[in-house]
Parts: sequence; C-alpha cells; structure tokens
Amino acid sequence: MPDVPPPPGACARLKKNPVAVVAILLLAFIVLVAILGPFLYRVDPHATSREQYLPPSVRHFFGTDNNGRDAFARVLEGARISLLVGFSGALISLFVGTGYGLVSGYSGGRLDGMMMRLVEILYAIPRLIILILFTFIFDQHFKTWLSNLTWKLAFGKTVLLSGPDLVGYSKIIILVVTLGLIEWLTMARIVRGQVLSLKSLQFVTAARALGQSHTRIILRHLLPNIAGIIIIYLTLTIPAVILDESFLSFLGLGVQAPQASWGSLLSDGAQVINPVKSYWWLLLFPALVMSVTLLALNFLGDALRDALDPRSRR
Amino acid sequence: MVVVLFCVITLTFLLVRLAPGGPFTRERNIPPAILKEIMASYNLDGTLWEQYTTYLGVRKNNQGQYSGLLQGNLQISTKYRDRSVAEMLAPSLPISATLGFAAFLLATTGGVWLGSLAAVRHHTPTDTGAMLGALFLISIPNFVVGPVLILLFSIKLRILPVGGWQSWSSLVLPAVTLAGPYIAYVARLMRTSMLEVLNQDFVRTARAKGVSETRVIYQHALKVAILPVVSFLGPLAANLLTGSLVVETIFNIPGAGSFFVNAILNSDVFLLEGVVIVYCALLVLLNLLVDIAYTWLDRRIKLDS
Repeated sequence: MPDVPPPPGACARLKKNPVAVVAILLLAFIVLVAILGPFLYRVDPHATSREQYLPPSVRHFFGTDNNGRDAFARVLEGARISLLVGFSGALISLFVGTGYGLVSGYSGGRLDGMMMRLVEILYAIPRLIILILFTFIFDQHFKTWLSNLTWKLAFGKTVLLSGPDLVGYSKIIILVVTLGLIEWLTMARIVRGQVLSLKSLQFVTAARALGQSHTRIILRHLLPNIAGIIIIYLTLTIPAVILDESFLSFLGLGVQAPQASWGSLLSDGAQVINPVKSYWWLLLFPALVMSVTLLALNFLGDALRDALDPRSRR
Repeated sequence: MVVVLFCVITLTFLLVRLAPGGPFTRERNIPPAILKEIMASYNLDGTLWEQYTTYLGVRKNNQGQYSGLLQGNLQISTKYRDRSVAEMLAPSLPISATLGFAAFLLATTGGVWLGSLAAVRHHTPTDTGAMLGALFLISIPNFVVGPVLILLFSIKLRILPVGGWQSWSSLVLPAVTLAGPYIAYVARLMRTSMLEVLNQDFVRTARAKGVSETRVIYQHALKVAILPVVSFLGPLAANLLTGSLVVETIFNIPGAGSFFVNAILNSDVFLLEGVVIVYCALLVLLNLLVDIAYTWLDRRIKLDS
C-alpha cells in the first residue's frame, strides 16, 4: 500500500487539539514502558514467593497476588500481550476490511449487494461466541502442528526461534488472527461507502478512459483518497480488539496461565473482591492501566476524525 | 432468515465436531467396547454426514426414530448424563432474557435521551460533558465497571445485593453494567443523526409555523433522527448477548451464559451446539422484528414528507 501523508493541515489541526496531544503522549509512554519495562524492571512476572497479597509498597509497586507474584511485573507483561494482540489484530482487520470494502464498492451492482448483505448478517450474529468456539478448537490442532514443525529461525548456529518454541504462544497467535478476522466489518462498510462516492467522480472516469486497469485504479487512485479514513478506523479498531481479547481472557478462554493479559489480570482481580477482605490493588491497577490506554486510543481516534475528515466536523 | 440459521447450525456443528478428542476421552479410561456403546447411544458414531443428518432430524437415529432439531430435540448433555439440553436451558434462559431485555431498554432509552439532549444543547457544557462521559463508558470494559459497582453499592453502601438472582434489586447492577457501553454507543449515534436532522427544512418549517420547541424535537425531529438507532438494534442485541456472558460471571447469575463456557471446557458437544443455536435463533428472530419496525417507521416518514 502506498504510504500517503494525510491531507495538508491535518497534522497541524491535530497538534492544536490538546486532547489529542495528551492522548498521543500517554500512548507513547505506555507502549514504551511495555516494551522497555522488562529491561528496566528486572522482576520475573512468573516467579512465585511466600509473600501473598502484599499491599502496594516501594518494593512491590502494585503489590503481590495470590501466588506472591509481583503485580507490577504482571501488569507489564499483560500490557505487552494486550498491546501486541490489539495492534496486530487491528492490522489484520485493516487488510481484510479494506480489501473487502474496496472490492464491494468498486464492483457495485449485484456483487456489492450480496457482499453487504453478508456483512449485515455477520453483524447480527454473536461473532465472538462463534469465534470462541473457533479459537478453542483450532488452538489444539495448531499446537500439534507447531510441535511437529521443523522450521527454524536461526542466526548462524544459534537457533532464535523454532516451531516447538512457539507452542506456548499458539493461543495468542490464534487469538490475534481470529480477532482480526472478526473486527473488520465496520471498516469494510466505511471503505465501501467512500469508494462508492469516489468512483463516480471524474478523476476515476478519466483514469478509466486512459485505459488503466481496475487494479491500478483501485490501488493508485482510490486507496490514497481513503487513507485518512482508514487511519481513523484503525485507531478505533485497536481498542476494540484489546477489549475483545480481554473479554475472552476474562472468561478464561484467552491467554493461558501463567501468561497474563489485562483481561486475565482483571479476572483474577475481580475474584478477590469480596465483603470479607478486598485486595483492591489487584483489580485497581490493571483496570486503571487498561482503561487509560483504551481511553487514549478512543480520544485519539475521535481527534483524528476531526482532523482528517472535515465533513464530520460540525 | 432461515438460511442464516441453517448456516449457523451447520457451522457450529462442524466446529464442534472438529475438536480433537471426543466428549468422553477426558474422563478415566473407558474400555473401547463400552465407549463404542456410549457413542452409539448418543448417536455420535457413524460418519460426519450421518451424525449431521441425525442431529438435524432428517435421518433415523440408532433408536430408529426421527429426533433432531426439526422435531425440537436438542439432545442430551454428554457431561451431565441424565439431563437433556432443553431441560438445562429452560430455567436459565428466562433469567438471561430478563437481564438482556432490561439492558436493552436501558441502552436504547438512555442512549436516545442522552444523545438528543447533547444534540439540542450543541456546543454547551451539557453536550461536551455527555460526549465525554460516553467516551469513558465505551473505553472502560464492563468487567471493570461491574466489580467497581459491587464495591461501591453492595460492599460500601450496602443498598444492593452483591450478586445472585433473588429479587428485582439484584437486576439493577448487572443491567447497568451490561448496558453502560451501549448507552454510550446509542447516544453518539443519536447525537450525530439528531444534529443532521435539526438542520433540515422540515424542522425549520415546523418551528416557523409556531410549533413549540419540545414538540419540534420530540415529535418531528426524533421520528427521523431515530432511524440509525433502529438499524443498530440488531447488532446491539448481538452485543448484549455476548456481553451477558461476562456480566453473568461477575454477578453470579444463573443464566445460560455459564453453560456456554462450561460446555466449551468440557467438550459437551450437544450442550454447546444447543446454546449457540438457541442464541442465534433468538437473534435472528429479533433482527426480523427490527427489520419490520424499520420498514414501518420508514414508511410513515415517507408518507409524512
């Protein structure tokens, strides 16, 4: 896909919006901490100890959990997994949704009608439920496949990555792919709408009169014109995917212990809230970090929409 | 509609049967001869096609009867051996339905009201505040909102029950938790569409002929502006249904959601298929109702204008 800069002035408009600037800074900070965290804060998130349920202190910033694990290290690990799932899932949905929308809108007619009917149907069935089924079933097949894999990513003689190494991550890989495959509907609808209105414009007619192929018209003429809208919905899809993943993990159907994602941490945290004794820090900190991230992403998406899509400004 | 339902049934059936290991392989080792007998009594032997047609009820089962979905038979749970799926779902579905319906009402009425309010008071603190609140509601997952509400209203203030399903008061917190994000979605939809409608000619005409502002908004504009919300009702129902899985877990509500999660973890094939099919059938029905409502509303507008 050609890398297209947003229309002139969009960046300036974005910079003028204080909410957007704060959101970008916050996101950059969270992503940075998630990536650099394990190098700066050298505590093993899976190391258990006898110090159960310690409240937050200087030694354990976010306290410890039921197995005496350091909650801050766990939240960091959760951040890495949740963000990874969110970003890559959104990217997959970007390709599926844009492709689908482009084909549907560009071809028009009966094919368009059928494709959009399918989107409507998919909207109305509980996709997440079908996909929980899907992940659960394919995870086991995928694991067998991975453990028999002879493929290796080697650097000289040191093996960096091989099939069997990935077995522990199979659930996450499946999650990313399936989540990407369900969150593309809105994207497809919006891209189709844009293409539909763009293709009746004169520059498309001109390109066609010059004898350019459909592929070239789609890739070189239509795609750059809808890049802005795609970026907006990419920003809004990331929180949706993160939310979906945490939903699955909360039900115990997502990432597997001892790995953590924000959803599984929140699930653990919600279980220790009871009238007798509440270990509030196990719920509060993951909730806070996750909510702030999602809020920042949603605010950024809205601000981008204002900056890139003048029509939506009122 | 029937086609959609048929596709969902087939897809669910295939997915569940693709799972490695049968429903009986997890328990202690069963002698092969006995396992074969058990599988036969559940009609889980034979080829995939034979199982599928038997499940649908267009083929005689091992007991020599037609007894499948067409006959309204959801089969027997393979985990809780002597209970039929229908028997298990019957007491729990009404509970899930009540919760879902309450959340549905809350999300639509709350959202429409909030959205219209924000649109009417465009560019005022009410508008900004409402939209800011909506963004917060969308961003904070309901499994955070749920425990926080419990902590606040049940443990600290002690005015509402912590969970369970005893009285009407135990409906309040789950319904609010479930509806929260969707109040926000509906409000945002409603605000955008209301703003568009308020700029249209017929609204100006109504104002010009001296109709009071309340009537302009609630009788003339609302009728048109509500259409995007009506077309969102189908997806809304689907989302509420999925959301109820989590909310039922948080508040320990004995609804149908827990069966779904348990059935997956136990490879309980018939229970799993039953839950998914009943859910989808409900949704297909709801969507039909929404479609009818939409055409009805739309026609009235066409006649009016």
